Amino acid sequence: MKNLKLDIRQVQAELKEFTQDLQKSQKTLRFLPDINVALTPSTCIYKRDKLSLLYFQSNQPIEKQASTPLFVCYALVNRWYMIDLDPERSFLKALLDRGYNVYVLDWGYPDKADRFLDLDDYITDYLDDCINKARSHAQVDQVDLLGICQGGTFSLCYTALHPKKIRKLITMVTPINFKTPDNVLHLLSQHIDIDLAVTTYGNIPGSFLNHTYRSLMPMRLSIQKHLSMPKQLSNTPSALNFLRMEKWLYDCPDQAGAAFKEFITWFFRENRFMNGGLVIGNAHVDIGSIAQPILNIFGEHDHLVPLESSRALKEVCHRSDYSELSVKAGHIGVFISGKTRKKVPDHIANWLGQ
Amino acid sequence: MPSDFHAQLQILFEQQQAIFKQWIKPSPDAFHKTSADNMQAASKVASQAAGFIKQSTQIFEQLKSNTLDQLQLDTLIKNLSEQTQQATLNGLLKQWQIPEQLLDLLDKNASITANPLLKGWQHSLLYTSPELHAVLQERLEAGYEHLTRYQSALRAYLHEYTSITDAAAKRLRIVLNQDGTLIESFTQLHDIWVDCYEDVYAEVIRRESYQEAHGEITNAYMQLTAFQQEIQLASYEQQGLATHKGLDSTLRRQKILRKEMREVKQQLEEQRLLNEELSRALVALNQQFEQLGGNLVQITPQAIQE
Repeated sequence: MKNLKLDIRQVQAELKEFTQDLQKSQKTLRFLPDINVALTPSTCIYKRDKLSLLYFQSNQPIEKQASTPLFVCYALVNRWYMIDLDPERSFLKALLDRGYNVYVLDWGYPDKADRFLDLDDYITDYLDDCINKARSHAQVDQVDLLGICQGGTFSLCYTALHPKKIRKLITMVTPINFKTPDNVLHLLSQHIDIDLAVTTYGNIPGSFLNHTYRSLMPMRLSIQKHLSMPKQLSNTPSALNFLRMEKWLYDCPDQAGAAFKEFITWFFRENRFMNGGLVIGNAHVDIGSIAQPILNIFGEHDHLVPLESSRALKEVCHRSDYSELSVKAGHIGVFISGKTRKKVPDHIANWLGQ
Repeated sequence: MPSDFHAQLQILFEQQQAIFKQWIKPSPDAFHKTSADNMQAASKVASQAAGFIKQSTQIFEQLKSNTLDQLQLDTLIKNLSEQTQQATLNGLLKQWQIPEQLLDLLDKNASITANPLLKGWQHSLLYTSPELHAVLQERLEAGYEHLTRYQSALRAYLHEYTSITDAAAKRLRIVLNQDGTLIESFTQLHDIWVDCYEDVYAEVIRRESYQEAHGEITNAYMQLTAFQQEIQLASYEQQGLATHKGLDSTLRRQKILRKEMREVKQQLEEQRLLNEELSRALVALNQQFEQLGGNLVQITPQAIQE
């Protein structure tokens, strides 16, 4: 092993540093305050079943505020507050700083009573209801809709079904073509009996999905991450950053069984955005009919939603004034990495303002 | 005598109270103000770090005494591989651990019989269907098949991961022998090990055999869980307890009604809008009518002839 020339001084130094970081991390954790997230002030303007509609007012004077509010539709998996983990990394706050009043749909935590909720309930009922409430609250006819990941999938369906209510559409890290060769989630789901899953569990446990995500990069997301923890936890600011992300990662709501089954079948198995045949409720959904301007943002290093999966939107939405922004980041990095923290909100603001 | 006895009892109570206070008094080094989550994080950090520290300390000692030769480097790679293997297998066994209800059943019956699981199932099924011995036998055979399927699936899945670790170790040796960057620290070595593992993993995960193994362990585990739930449900029903079956049929009906209600609301809304439009049209017509009002004549046969 000719390349392996372990240097005693280096090994000694890293051993010393590691041990020191370990001691510091234990001390940091002893006195660390509670891990609070979603610190940007908001008002809950509507509640229904498990969901809440949150309103965030821009911190800019009225004359600098955008006339069309922004409505954020997050995915059902994981929690919306990823866009507001802390003030330093808050994508949400960045939008407020740029003059946008923002509505965020918090889907909440499904329980056993929700197991028969399907995509029709989520998109045609809940999402439509909340968008109507936002329009009424803001006294506007249209909103700008921003969908994140699976929320982007929902937003596309919604815009196709209710075009009059949407002025412009932004999709972020959104899967469109679920069968690109590097779409590992699609590969892993191929042989799983979804009917058995829904029969057995009712609602699909959040922990089940969490295991699946971690299995995409088992070493990096477990052993290597754990070994980096002493450094991450060696001081309070870094520890808070790390633990906030950990809190979000493990805060995985259960998935309503019927909706989960439909999503896996219609999108992961049958790829209906690309192959057609998507029907939500009684309505055919053709995202090719979307005429609204679309901004599609995706991460070049996204291992959950590969770049080509998101980029496929360009070939499907041929009627739309389509533009895209490719960012050198991963699935979450698009929102919170140092490189994108200013670039992405600036680009969104410029595009919305056009 | 009684007063002596009471006095002694009082002393005993006071002594006990002092001990209780001591138990709940935190020691200066305790994490008494730390939240449960932070304590868990601290414990995880400590346990994960222990292995790394041990390994790097060993290397350091060997370097110090100039005894880190080729053989020991090979051993180092082997240790890295084995530690990863162990951590991976532990994680997988924890993830795919036999369902909790079955574990309880095994615990309960372990001391009674060599076949605790079957004994437990037998007891549950006999309790619910005492006269249906044929059914019992059928159910036991089904349970046995599920369990066999689960074990076989788990074995195949663990085998996949063992192969991944072995292939990753081979790749690491190749990388360490190729022309390239000099690796001088343990952290660098570890990072390259992670890269090799993830590269091999990314290749394997795309193979049909891995996907089938992943699907099979998932399905076998769910099947076992579903079977255990069936037994429990039958037991609850026998005891007259409400189960989720009844709730499910109510929820299904509720869902249908919900959708019907939404349709009705939509129709009412459309009707309302139509009515508004009609009202506006009527108002406009009325206005036109009033404007024309002065020019109207009575409609008589003579007026028509004229």
